[in-house]
Amino acid sequence: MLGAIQLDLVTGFLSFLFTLLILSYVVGDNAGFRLAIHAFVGVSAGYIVVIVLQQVIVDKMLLPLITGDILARVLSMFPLILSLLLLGKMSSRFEWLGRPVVALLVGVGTAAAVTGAVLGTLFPQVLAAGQLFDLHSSPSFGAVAGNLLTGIFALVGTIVTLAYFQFTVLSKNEASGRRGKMMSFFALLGQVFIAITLGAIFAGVLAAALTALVDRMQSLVSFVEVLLSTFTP
Amino acid sequence: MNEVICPSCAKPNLNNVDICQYCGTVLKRSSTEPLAPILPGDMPVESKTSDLESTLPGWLRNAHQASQEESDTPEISFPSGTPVIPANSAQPADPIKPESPRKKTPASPLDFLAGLSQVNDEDEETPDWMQGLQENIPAAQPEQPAQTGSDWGFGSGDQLFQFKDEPEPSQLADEESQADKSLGWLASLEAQDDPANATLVSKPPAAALPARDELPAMGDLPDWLSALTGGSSSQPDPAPSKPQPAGSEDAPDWLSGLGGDFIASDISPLSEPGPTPDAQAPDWLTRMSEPSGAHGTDAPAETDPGPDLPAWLGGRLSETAQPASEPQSPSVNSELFDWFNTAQDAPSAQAVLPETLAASAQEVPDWMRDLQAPASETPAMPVDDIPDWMTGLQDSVPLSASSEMPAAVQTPLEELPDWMRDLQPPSPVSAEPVAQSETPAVPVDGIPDWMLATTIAAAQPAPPTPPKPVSPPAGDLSFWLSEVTSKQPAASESEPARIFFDPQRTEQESAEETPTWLAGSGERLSTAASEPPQQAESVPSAQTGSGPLLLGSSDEQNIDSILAMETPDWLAGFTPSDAEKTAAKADERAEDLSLLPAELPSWVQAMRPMESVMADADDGQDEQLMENHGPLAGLRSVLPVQSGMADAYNSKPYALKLLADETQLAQAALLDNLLNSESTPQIAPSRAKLLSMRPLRWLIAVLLLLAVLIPAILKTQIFPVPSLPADASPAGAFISITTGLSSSQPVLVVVDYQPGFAGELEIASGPVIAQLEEKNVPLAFISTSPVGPFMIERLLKKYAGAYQLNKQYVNLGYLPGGAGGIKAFAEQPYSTVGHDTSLGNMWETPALAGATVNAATSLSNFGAVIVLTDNPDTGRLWIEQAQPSLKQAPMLMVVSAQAEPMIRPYMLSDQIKGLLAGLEGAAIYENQMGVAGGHGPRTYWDAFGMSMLAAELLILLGGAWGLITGLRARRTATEQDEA
Repeated sequence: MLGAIQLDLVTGFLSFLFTLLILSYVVGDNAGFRLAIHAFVGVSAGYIVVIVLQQVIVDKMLLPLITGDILARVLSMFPLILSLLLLGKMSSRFEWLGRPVVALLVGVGTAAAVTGAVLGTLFPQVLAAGQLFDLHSSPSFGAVAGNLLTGIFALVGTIVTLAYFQFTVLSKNEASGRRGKMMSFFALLGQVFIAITLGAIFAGVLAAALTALVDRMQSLVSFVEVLLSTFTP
Repeated sequence: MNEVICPSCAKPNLNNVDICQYCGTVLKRSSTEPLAPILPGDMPVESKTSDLESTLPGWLRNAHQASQEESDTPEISFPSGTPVIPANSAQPADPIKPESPRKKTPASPLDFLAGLSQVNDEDEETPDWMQGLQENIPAAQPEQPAQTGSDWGFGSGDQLFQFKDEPEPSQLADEESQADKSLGWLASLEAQDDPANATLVSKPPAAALPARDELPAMGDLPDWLSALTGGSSSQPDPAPSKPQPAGSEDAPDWLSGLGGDFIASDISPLSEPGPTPDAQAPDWLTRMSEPSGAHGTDAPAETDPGPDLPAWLGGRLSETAQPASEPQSPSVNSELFDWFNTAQDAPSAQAVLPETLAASAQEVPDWMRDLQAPASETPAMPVDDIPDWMTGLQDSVPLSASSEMPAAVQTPLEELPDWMRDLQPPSPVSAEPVAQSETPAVPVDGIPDWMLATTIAAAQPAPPTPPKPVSPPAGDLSFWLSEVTSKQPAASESEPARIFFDPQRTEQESAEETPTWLAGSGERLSTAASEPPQQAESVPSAQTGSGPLLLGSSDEQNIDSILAMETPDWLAGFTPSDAEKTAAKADERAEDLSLLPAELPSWVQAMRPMESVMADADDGQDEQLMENHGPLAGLRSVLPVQSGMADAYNSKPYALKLLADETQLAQAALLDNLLNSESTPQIAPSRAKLLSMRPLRWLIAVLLLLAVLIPAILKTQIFPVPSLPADASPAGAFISITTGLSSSQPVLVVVDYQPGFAGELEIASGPVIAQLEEKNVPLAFISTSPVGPFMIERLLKKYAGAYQLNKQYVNLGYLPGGAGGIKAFAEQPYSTVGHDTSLGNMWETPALAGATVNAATSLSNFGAVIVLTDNPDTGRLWIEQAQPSLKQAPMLMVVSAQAEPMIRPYMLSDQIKGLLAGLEGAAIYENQMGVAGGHGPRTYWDAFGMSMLAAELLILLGGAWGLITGLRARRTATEQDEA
């Protein structure tokens, strides 16, 4: 029990110390801040190496190769060979060996990303935006009206936002290089939507940062409380 | 064929091009080609004048062309048997060969150079002007004795011309000696040419200039001068019928006057004539000088022609002024040559004694024949035809000897040169003799500028000139005079500079070479040396006509005056008809001024390979560049002229203006503005402003820390927890789904957030994990982040500490591969993850027992998939890759507040069934479910609320400050604009 308490105190002290070092950045870049950063990066990298070595190389490649059946061994040979070829990228002389592996990785990852973006984001979002204008989506008029207004608002917001990013000038205004009046109005409206969006994102970022700050301050307070409770009768 | 083969590249070129189009070699030289320089000691090289014609100056070629154009005119045939002018008096007279029809006498004095282009050797030997002298001699004139013409220099001049064609070095010395010998009568002029002597010359130039001009006048006397003679002869002259002294019988009147002039010359110790050998001087000339001393005492007032008048001319004037019947000095007239008497009596003698004429014609020199012809035919020449200088002599110069000027020879003042006009007295010349007792000094005011200049120039010692085989030309002076000029430095070197006249030398040279009559003039000049130097400076010396002195000292003088000096008047006014042509070719004569003082006459240069004599020799040298480096060093014109090549290879000009319309120009301007704006440096904020931001940053940090710490320390609950959301809201849907989860189906929890966001996501997902723990829902954790496994353990330890590994939960660990790994896991979860060396097959653990249905492991077998992420992209990947494989299994998301705006659309598209965002969602969930205990969102809510309020206030204050600052800046700018 004492050991657990002492361990909590040590971890709590280190947490308190590194928290203060990170917060010291308020007064500017300093050695304490850099020490905390370097410690975090080093610990994270070490942890990542251990995790990858254990959970990826050993568990997913070597273990099936050693303890698996024939099929598992044969299948495990592919990642092993590809990994060895990928090591050729470390040398300029054998750099070409890793090209197929990299090509495979990029190709598979791109294919998955594109497929997921089209099927998982684009089509569903288009369908969802269209459903807002479906007057029969809900028997409630208020819900339909709400959906319709939401849809119109989303549509206008989308259009004016795209209009703001329309930098091509039509032939009528080529000489001046400026947008027409209609496009200028849409662009201005798009700026409003973009500002609202960025404001919302900034609010979320601020909320997330303040939440993290509150968590750190709360951890300090908790550490102090634990420390006081430990060493005070 | 209109092509010209280039001598360099042998390529054909058009005939009208001057420069080779291929190599740039100059094909045609319009300018004068320079000759090789003649250095001292170089021997002349024989060459054809036709080859050297290209080297002639432009004006000379033009003159030659003009003479060729006139070649179509009738030519005068020279009579056979015409005696040639002897080259030297010592040499026997060579009969002139019967010549073929010769060209017409050049109209201009410069035309005598026109024959240079002819290949005929005879033409080269005898200049045209000399030919003209012979041509002008009437055929009826008897041949002049060789001995008589030798002293007049024409013979010597001819000899000198022949010398040009005899460039043998061995003969040069002889020729030079002969020339010197023949020009011995000019020895006195040498003394005058001496600059030192010139300073002491006190006699007026008229005494010397006519002496110099006298020589050509003998050969081809102008009409005015011919009129002087002819007038006297045309008039009924009783002289032949009257017994006259020897002098008057043998010599013409004007020449008799010369004798009288010499008789009337001043008495001076230096004027005593030396012994004149008869072999080298004509007798008549010798006698002309002999009685001068005798008569000087007898009638000085009558015989003195005046200091400004040459002796011979003074005598001539006296002769013409006096009646022809007036008896002359017997000593002079008795010693004149017969030919001279014949010439004098030609008009009457030809009619009376033709046989005598035929006999005397053999003795009369050519110039005399030329002189007699117009004299006999031309009526009395009016005074207008008298050269200006002669007119001036008559009037202005106080003649010491009484002269009687006939009315026929009076010359009007209009045709007199200015300098002579000044010398002419205001009163018209009368036929009555004018007696002058003394010779007054010519005032300086009456002397033309050119004469003063020449006087000054003559006063300066001429630089010694090295002796050359051929004397350099003296402008337009004929060669015989140039010869005199060439001897000038020798005299100045051999004698002291201040010695004006050396009696010994004068006696010797005059005795040997100088004609008597000219020696007399020299004597008078020598006599003038004894006069005060003031007078010598006040009058131009006799050397003013010398080319070197003239050109060397008066380059800026009036052209006319220079021409008058350079070109003898007798030559300029050779024929009356030449006067107009002479004026027309004044420009050509002006080019002669460009000749350097010590240069040969251009026609001599044409016969000799000399480039220094050319007027544009410098230009030629400029064109012929001399190589200074390499093996060709020292050679000239080896390579083609670069300038020609540059001209030949000039590239064609192309227009640089772009053909762009207004639209393109506007677009180009727009692009240019964009590029310029990119290159325009941005004004960096000053350091003072940066320093001012640090306290502000500290202030904001302190405010936020206080806003967080105060509620955390005080554990206040000032801010109320958010109320329950509607069921349709993302949080409400989330709560509804989690509430419906059962313990039979495991719930897959994806922990994909970074340690930095652990504080937010742990507090946000803590109530959910706690609720699931309460419901004993088996949990399977997986992460696409390498640090995910640690975050999973930390989360479970904080909110589900009661769960045991592989019993209530499994940690599938790290899922590599990104989107592909997610896709693989979603399709084949069993084969992708769940196999650990220490834990074995996790799919066989009790926590995942519900995930395998009918020996098939699929995500759809999970009760729900809860994604905990702070990155919207990670959430999107799980939605895109795993959501289609979930089928009926709901996907829930607990995201950071910053990722909510990007993930919320998937909530509206029903791709995710519930969403909790940040601390707010956790607070709502906690408030609804009543879980999380002491580590729940409520403990953070006041601190979060206070810090958020502080942040909002700071944002408002900052916005207000910015607005005020902007308004002030705008107002200031407006005021500045208005000011």
